[in-house]
Amino acid sequence: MSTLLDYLLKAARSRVVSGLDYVELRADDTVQTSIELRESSIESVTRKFECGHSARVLKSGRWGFAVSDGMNTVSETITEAMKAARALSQRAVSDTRLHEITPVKMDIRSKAETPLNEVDLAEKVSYLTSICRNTTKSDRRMTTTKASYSDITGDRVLVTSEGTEVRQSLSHAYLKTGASGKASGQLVSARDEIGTVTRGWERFTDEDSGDKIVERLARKMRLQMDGVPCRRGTHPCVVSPKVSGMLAHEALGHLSEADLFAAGAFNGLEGSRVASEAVTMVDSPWIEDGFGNVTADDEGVVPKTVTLIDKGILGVQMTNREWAARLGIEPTGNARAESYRVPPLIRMRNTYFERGDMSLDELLENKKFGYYCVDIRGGQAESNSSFQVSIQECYEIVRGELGRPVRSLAISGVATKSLPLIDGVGKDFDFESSYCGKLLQAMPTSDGGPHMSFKKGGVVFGGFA
Amino acid sequence: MSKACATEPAVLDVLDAVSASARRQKVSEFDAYAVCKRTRRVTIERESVSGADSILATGLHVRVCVDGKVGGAFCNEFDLKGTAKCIEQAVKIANLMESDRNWSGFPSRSKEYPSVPGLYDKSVVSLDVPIMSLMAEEMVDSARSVSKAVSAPYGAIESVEMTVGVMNSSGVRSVMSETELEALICCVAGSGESISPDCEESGKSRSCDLRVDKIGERAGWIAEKSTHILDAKTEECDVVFSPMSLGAGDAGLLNVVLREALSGQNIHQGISFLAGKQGDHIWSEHVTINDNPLLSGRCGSRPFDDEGIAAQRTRLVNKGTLEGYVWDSYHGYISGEGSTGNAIRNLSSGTVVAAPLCLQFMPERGSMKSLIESLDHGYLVWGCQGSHTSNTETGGFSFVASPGLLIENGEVVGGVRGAMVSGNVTDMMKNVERVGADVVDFGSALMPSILFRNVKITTG
Repeated sequence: MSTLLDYLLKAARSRVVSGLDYVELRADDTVQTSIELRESSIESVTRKFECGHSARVLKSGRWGFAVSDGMNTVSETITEAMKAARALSQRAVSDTRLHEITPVKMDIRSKAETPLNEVDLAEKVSYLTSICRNTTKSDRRMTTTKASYSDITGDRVLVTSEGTEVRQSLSHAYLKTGASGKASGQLVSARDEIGTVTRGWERFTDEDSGDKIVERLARKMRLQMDGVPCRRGTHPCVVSPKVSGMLAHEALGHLSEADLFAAGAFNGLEGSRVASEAVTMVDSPWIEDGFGNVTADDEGVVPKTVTLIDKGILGVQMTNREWAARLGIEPTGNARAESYRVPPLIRMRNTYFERGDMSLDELLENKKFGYYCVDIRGGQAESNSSFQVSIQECYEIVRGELGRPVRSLAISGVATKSLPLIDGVGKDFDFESSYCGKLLQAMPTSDGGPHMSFKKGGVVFGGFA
Repeated sequence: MSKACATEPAVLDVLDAVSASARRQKVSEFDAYAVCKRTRRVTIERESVSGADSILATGLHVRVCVDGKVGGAFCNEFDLKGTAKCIEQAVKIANLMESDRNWSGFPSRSKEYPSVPGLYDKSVVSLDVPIMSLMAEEMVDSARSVSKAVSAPYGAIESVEMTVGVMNSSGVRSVMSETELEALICCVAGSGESISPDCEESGKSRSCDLRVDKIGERAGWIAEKSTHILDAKTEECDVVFSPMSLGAGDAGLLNVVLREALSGQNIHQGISFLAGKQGDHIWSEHVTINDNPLLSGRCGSRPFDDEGIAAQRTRLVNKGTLEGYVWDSYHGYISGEGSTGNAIRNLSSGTVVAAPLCLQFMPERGSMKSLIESLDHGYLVWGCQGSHTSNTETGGFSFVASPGLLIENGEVVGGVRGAMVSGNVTDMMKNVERVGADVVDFGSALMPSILFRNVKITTG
């Protein structure tokens, strides 16, 4: 029986690729299990089988891309992509070239101890049911709990006309839980997310046992129920590793993706000081349990760590092969595609601020009034370096001590102005796992760092009413 | 010749194969949804056409019910092996489930489907890459004609042809074809301190009547205006929201929040700020909202929902009074409300949820320009940065107006950076002062520009 790799290799070696500058073939053969629960009732359980392939070709410096389901028409798909490239108008970009790389042959095996596809569906359902049931029980004001779980296992293959052959066995899993409740007539809600792209079911049973998730959700809910509204405006603040990670991702991360850098606020500031000397920020292809871990990117580049800010100085950009050639630098291995259905884009992996040397107490002290932001709901970046991050766990800081919890709010700022106002970097480290969206592709990433503090003016607070 | 989208008879053949497979596996209750989608796309990068995509995707979602226990499966191949595997897996899953005492069966087709003209236009299907390239170039040229300072980092022209079929064991057997043409451009202007935010503008149509030049011009205009940075202050004032800031599918504030808040499923579960308020006068007299998938040629229009129930016009809010919600068959049954033909299938998670098909905010009169001209001082919110983080259960939001512009003496005088807009949708809708007539079709919503009073603006 032919494997995915066989199908792609056969097509890549056939006459159909002759005359093309470059051919990149990708294929997935996966099984996805999705479970949706509300309270302790199962809303749906679905198993999804997906098998298909795509061809991305470079012809006379122009890109063509085609996708088809199944594996029986790879040559036709290459032809389709070639025709698309050829049909572009004469004014289309025709100088695209790729940075040269040494083709690799890799077989990346899952490190799962308990493979996700070997765990009974009943066990997964039972795990989720207990989270929902115990969360509801934890506080009588809790009205609704929900859990959305999905895992994907199977094979992903990349073959290029240059000789790259990468086969990966996938082990992706993601769990999002949420709770809602009522306090003093007001609806409040909180959520929790965990995920893995390297481990198996042990990720859920060893570290994030259902009890821990329940504890986190219940704590966030109580804080929302008992919280006070935030004072709108700018205040000094301390942010937790999860929030500093989100700021790393939104405030500078996106704008350091080479395709966005060119039209962004940091363009022209390469080598300039953009933050204090205590601030170093990187995008790394591998951290322990990172949700953005990559062994080879979706162009077959062996990835490397990119230093985005080095002791306050703006560093280099994340690239794919096309942008590396354009900028005259080495590709960093940041080309990632959600699946075979879409071409790779320049994406972050595990993006974080490096540790400093301060304790949380030291970061809090000397702040007469401010906020300590602990947990997030999501965020968004813009080319002009404006960032927005929604916060679901927050406390007042009063005379250097933590005070009352604060209800849902959002923080914002302009990174070119906010980064220089970081006045303290903690010595701890943690990160958050979530999906990042760019041009409709959702990609698993980790964002993290230590605790950090901002002077007044660095971050603006706006409360949810 | 590229591979074509499956025809309606071909999709019905797939559904018949599911039915036959279900019979062979002795499954008496089932429901199947098949979709074939052909997408052609020309992409724009750095002001130039950069590539062309051709995507053919198929999907089959099957649910079965065995003794009140429901299981689902999905595959992306329309062959006999795929259909049989889907049924077999769905049965396996159903057998692991507990019986659902609320289960009332897959819905039957109780009403004739309405006639909804203008859903399919052959001219969209016949658009080829060279023509789409020219459209992309025209859109970019129009954006750059506003000012030399304007650049277009990305954009796309996309044509879609889709055939969708639904069948179930209660007698539903329906199929439809549709087309859609979409143009999107993002413009940026200026540099350094005065650089604008991402200024996105888009348009959608079932036919080839999109004015890509106008889309480009609007994106270019807003980018150029945003480079003249002025100071905003923390205050409560009048704010005009553009149709995009309210109606865009993934980022329009009202579309994001109201799609969830008006869903019968969320009402039933008590996780909507609109639960228990049916019949109450909750918002301004200027607020009338329907779910209307019956309008000719609109991108959210269709004759039936994803369960094969006839689509209908549902009055949701009438001059500020909350009149109803939208329901799928399951939640409509357990709530006693019945289906309003609003089932939407999430093919990724396998869930069938209740949601508006085409949220129509009823227009009144005047253009966005006339709303702006009516203000001595206020802001224009063109886009909502971070509106996807709004709390759809409580209606609370806090986003950055991006692009956000300052209005003085009836004119847009420049951009503001980092101005946060926060509040609650319920409070905001009480303060609707005027509604424009400049409706934009976002597919899932038809939205005009709206002037709100007393909006909270926060700056650093």
